[in-house]
Amino acid sequence: MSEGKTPRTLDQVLASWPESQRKEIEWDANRAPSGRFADVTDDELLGPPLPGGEASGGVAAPVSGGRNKKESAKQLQDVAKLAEMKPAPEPAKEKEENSGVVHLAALAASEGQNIDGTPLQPAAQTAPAEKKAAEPQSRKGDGVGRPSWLMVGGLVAAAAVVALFFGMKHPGTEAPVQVTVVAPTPAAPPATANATTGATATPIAANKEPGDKAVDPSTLPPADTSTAAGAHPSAPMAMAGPAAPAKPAPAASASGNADQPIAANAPPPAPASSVSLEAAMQQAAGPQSSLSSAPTATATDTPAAAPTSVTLKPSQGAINGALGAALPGARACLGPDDPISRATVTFQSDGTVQSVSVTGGAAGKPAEACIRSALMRAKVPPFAMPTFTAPTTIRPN
Amino acid sequence: MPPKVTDRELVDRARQGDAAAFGQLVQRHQQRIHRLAAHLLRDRAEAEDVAQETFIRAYRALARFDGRSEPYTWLYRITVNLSLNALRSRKAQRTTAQSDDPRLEAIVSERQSNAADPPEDAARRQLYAALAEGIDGLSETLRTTLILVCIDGRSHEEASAILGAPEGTIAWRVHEARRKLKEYMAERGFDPEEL
Repeated sequence: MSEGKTPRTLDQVLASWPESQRKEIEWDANRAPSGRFADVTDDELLGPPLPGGEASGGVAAPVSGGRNKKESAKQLQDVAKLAEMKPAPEPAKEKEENSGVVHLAALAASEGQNIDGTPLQPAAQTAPAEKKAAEPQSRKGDGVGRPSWLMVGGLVAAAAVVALFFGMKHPGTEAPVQVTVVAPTPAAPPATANATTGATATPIAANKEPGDKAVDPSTLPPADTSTAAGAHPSAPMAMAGPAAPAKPAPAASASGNADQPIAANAPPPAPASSVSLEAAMQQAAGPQSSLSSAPTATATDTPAAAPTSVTLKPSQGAINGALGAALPGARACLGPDDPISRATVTFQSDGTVQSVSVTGGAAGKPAEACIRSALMRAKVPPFAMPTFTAPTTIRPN
Repeated sequence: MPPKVTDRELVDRARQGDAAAFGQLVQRHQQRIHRLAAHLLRDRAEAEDVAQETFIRAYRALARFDGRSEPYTWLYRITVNLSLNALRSRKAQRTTAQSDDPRLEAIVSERQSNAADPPEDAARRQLYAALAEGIDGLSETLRTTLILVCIDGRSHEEASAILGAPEGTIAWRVHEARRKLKEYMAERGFDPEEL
């Protein structure tokens, strides 16, 4: 890049910001260190200058840092907690009214096992166990009320969760699923009480998979606790404590669901994924009848759509990444007191470097070849344009 | 070419009491440190204060340098911390006239010494003045990151080490800062496609 001419792109302009060379004498001039920094402790000075991962200016920061992940996981847990705590603890009768699960189970117990009297005991035991295990489900039925949805909608910004949200908007489809799956529980009266509770727990756990894929934010927190393990041991899933050992499956499926939004949030600079995510969201929202298939389609389509699109030119992030990786090598070519050099790197469409031209202090010196070979190693993802040129400044270490 | 003495070696020697080694480190980095401070503070005198204080505080804290990062990363971090501290302690928002803006002084001096193409000169000066204003309008976080990466040429990895934020966050901040800056420049009549 020529020194006198106005550079073209924003990056070129910024990278070639004119620098006034200050004389040594200005530094050694008798400017005593001012006492204004006396109150700044060494700890403050050596610590991270900015709140890590947080962006000011009213814009949400990306969820790429560990701290952010934890924070968002915590937020999700809080939301889920709120969603679960929404309905007040109810007596069994109300539960029977509200939830087809308990009602049918009780019916089956009273009708089919009343004759002997013996199965009644397990059935009676099943009922509380079921109540416990079904609590999240029945609450889920109740919790489909507006406030909790609004909370979920407001707090969960990730698009994948919105896709879940769309899926959850059909409480009508939940009830039949619950009925069909839970109904068998009383029909299988096992020998011991433990086995019974296990049996009741398992179908409910199995029940969660099809229904809950699109159903409940309360399934999200346990998934998040897998990333921030032990942070909230008393998270909503603990409500289903007795049934917990028998159901690793929902946790696994929930983790799949919950990780998605975080992963979708994680690379904010990559617009391609967000586009495909939008498409996936529309896909999920469009055919509302296919509740169970929508989330899985989202999961599979997102990665599939991304690689097919080749951008017109490499993204700024890709260029910065590629040059950033090659720059330390280029800087090593310069001596500590060598002047600054500038290089123009031309990428060809397959992403490799076609040519490097070096200007400034290193031009015409052995360092030029060294810099050139260092920068030739840069590589960006393939792009559509025949070539793309990026400037960079090489300052000595 | 004589073998290069690395920054780390200089720091090690300075820790053992070799003041000259530290002096060499100062000489190596003073320009960049001052430039960074000038961009962050937009005030020449304050930038000089901060640059000088950076080296003093670094010297005092040499024992605490754990060697996990490069010495210049460490110096940069001190500079950013001091600069942000100075900015926050300013009583009120200071408006800097263009002629006093240390970021633009090189352009002014270039114009005085090199009057070959006055229209090009004027356009260049306008461009940088507008950019400086646009950068001033960014939040502290975005501005600091943009200065480190786009103006000072630090890689995302280096900026991440300096600011103590993940690389993904740095990338996002740069992206966001560039977007806002482009918007600002478009509002000021500069072609956004060109920028």
